[in-house]
Amino acid sequence: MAMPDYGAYHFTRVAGPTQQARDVYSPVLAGWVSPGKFQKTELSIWSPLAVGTGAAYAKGATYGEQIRAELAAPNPNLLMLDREFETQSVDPMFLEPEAGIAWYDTRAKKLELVIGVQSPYEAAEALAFMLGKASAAFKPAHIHAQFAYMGGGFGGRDHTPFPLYVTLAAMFLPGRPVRLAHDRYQQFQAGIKRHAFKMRTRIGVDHASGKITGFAADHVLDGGGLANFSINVATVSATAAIGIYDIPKVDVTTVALHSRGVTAGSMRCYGTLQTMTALEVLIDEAALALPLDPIEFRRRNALKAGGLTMTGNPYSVSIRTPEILDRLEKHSIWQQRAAEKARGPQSGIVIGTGVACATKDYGTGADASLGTVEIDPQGRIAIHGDTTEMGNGVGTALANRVAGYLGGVADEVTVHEVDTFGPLALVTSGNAHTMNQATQDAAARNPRWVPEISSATAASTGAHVGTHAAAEAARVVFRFGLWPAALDLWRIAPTDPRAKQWETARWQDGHLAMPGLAPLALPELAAKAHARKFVTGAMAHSFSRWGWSRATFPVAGQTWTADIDGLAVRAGGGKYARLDRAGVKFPPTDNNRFGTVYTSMCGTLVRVEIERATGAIRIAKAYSVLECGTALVPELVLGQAQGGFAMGVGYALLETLPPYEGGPGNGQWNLGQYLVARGSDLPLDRLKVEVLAPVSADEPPKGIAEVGMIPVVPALLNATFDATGKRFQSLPVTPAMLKGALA
Amino acid sequence: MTALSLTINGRTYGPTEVRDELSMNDYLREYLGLTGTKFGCGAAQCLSCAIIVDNPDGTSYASPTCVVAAANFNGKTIRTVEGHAKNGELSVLQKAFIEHFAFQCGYCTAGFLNEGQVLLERLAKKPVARADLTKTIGEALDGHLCRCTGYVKYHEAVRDVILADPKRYLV
Repeated sequence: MAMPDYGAYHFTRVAGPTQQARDVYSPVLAGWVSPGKFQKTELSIWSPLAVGTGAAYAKGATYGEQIRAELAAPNPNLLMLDREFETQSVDPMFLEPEAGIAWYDTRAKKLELVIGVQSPYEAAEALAFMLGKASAAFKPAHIHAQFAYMGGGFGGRDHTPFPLYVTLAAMFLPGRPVRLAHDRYQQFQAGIKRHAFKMRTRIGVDHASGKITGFAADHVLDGGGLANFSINVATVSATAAIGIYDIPKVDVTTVALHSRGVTAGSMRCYGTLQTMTALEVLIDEAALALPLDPIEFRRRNALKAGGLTMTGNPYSVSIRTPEILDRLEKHSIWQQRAAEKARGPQSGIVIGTGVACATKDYGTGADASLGTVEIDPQGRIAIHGDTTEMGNGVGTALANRVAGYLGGVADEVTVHEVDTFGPLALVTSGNAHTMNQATQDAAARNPRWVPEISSATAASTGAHVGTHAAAEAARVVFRFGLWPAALDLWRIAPTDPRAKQWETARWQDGHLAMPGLAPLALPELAAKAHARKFVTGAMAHSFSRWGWSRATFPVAGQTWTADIDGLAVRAGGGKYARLDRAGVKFPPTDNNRFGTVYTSMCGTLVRVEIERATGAIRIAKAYSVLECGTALVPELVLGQAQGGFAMGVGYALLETLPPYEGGPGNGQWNLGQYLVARGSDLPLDRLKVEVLAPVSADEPPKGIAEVGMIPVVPALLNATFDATGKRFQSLPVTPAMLKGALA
Repeated sequence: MTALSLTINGRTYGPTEVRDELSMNDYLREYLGLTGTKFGCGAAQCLSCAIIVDNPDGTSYASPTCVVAAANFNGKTIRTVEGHAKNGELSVLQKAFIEHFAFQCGYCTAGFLNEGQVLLERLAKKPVARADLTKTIGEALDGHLCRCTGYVKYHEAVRDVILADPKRYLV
């Protein structure tokens, strides 16, 4: 039986005639459009005349066809390249296969479950949904789901159906403890995969200026056998299709198809890795065809601060591409590329150098953050969050971010909490991605309502989303707990002007310092806060739709306005009491038209050496430069960049899964056949990672756990072209392919 | 069935009747609760399951446990990740892993730790030239897969332990 395909979207932007002019057409102005139905006929689903697409779709598609017609028209002033690129299916290959334990107590009608997923709240909801309509014998009265640390995730434990299977096993074996654990063969067979893409891209570049004038692309994603996350991957990949560039006319179609392959879903850099790899390879080709230096070509076309992305909105964060390109250009790997290339023939090898630059969104446009921060009378800090730990280091990031407000590193951090935020009594309804403003406004009248209670963890949202609520909770504990305690100890009266200068106080070596006053140790402050029953714990929630919620709360007889929409506090050693918000401002629903406003950038240089006789490739040197705002844990930023480099090498040169017959669905795949990068595949002592300093002392943290992987892949492909003269248009590039190119 | 007796982290276990096909990984994790040893691939390709086997002659080697029957370890002396710390104090290499932020999710860490420890003990008996150190570490750790870290910090941690005591490990 034919299965429905998973979704399709069409993104078109036509900029105004000048940089300052309003766009003629964009997704932000007109909304996102979909053809609405899938046609299996010769007529392209993308045609504005396609049956049943509607006027809104036809309007955008008509602009899109004009862009394509301009690219196709003979024009001696325009360099036009039309290329196809294919990417493969790969496995997240987190080292710990999926596993879970469960037990259904029939007398108490209670289901107990322990499992590790990136989206605990969603998993708990899914279990309740699945069992909600079960017959009485299989319908728990209570589900107690506990979530565990994970041995890697990389997106593959997000939206995984595995918790459902663990639950079903327990429900059908009532009264018995059940453990369900994939072995590696089963993990390859059933685990979520990265989408394979087929892409066709056309790009037009003005010969005289070296500026890109138009861009059109068509993406086809293989979503595999079950609807999972394909349409999200499709839209993210499409809205990232022009990478770091500022292009006035863009038309991108994307469709995610059902297939008999293993289900594809979320995986690190989903979508963006595929489309930006195709883009950066094409950019390299265009630069050489003009000809222009590849870095200079990128510099001329890079989106600058205030410029508009292809959905028609600007980024709300710093844009560091110019600095990154400057660093790449000055690096010795780039400067010495010609001399190194000349060295190859004497040694039976060919040598090439490649460059690429990428930008990656962080956040999904509907991100929730929950956090509790408490301090005990001895000054010990405890933090609890809903974000998950899978090797992303978010526990350390939470501790470090809170330490900035409370002067000490937490003694206890718990993560993946979903049921400890009861005092907030949050409720939700609707779909945060699709609801209209009137619906949101009406729902927001309930002071307990939020657009989303908790959301999945991606490693690149750890710093920005995962630590946000805890940071806000820490600010409340400081402002209404430690600060009044300090005033008490300093004997500063409430009427003293200094009593309001809490923002000027600084932590130094565990002591709170103010000019002219004796520094106060954290335990001393905590003891006083407890003794006086000031605020010693705060529990906060916030929601981001490309901008945080904001509300005002009555705290300790004063008002407190912050980027949160839910708050409960405790006084001294008391219980939490929720506080009714006032003047809540949720980010507008029109923000759903943005592709992203949060982005981080990374550029990579690689030098490769390829043996003529065998095609064996060695990465001789590499350099990545990235930016992450304020690094919460610099060591982890470096680790994510190094890990992303390794995963990029695997994707470019090693990893592949046949899509159908012979693929992992046959249950016979393991690591002897599926190759991931080992230490010997990498330039371990010749990989230099540079992290740019934040643009200001208070620049917020950005998410970088994904962007560091992306430029590695096209940089390697561009390096193989430099070495061999062959432009590879599919992944992975294997020694056999390289040997063939050199034959 | 085999009546399995062995020494783990200095403590004797058994004799315990075990099925001949019982893997050492299952024996450690399911029979003894020594869950620090992980299961990654079941095919001896990732070595997240590796433990240390101490030979009677004083040499040691790292062995996978996922594809090796528990019965094969009968009479042997082994060490697992649980045995590195002494009296609550982490080993030098464990401290180096932490100081370098060498691991991220931690699932491969026990295997790297055991392999790194074997290397340290081998070099203590048979030092290498400083010029060969990077290659030596690379070859020793290359059988181990890590998907998070990119390996750099594991290698740096082992190298720094060696460089901190050059008289012991280097010629």
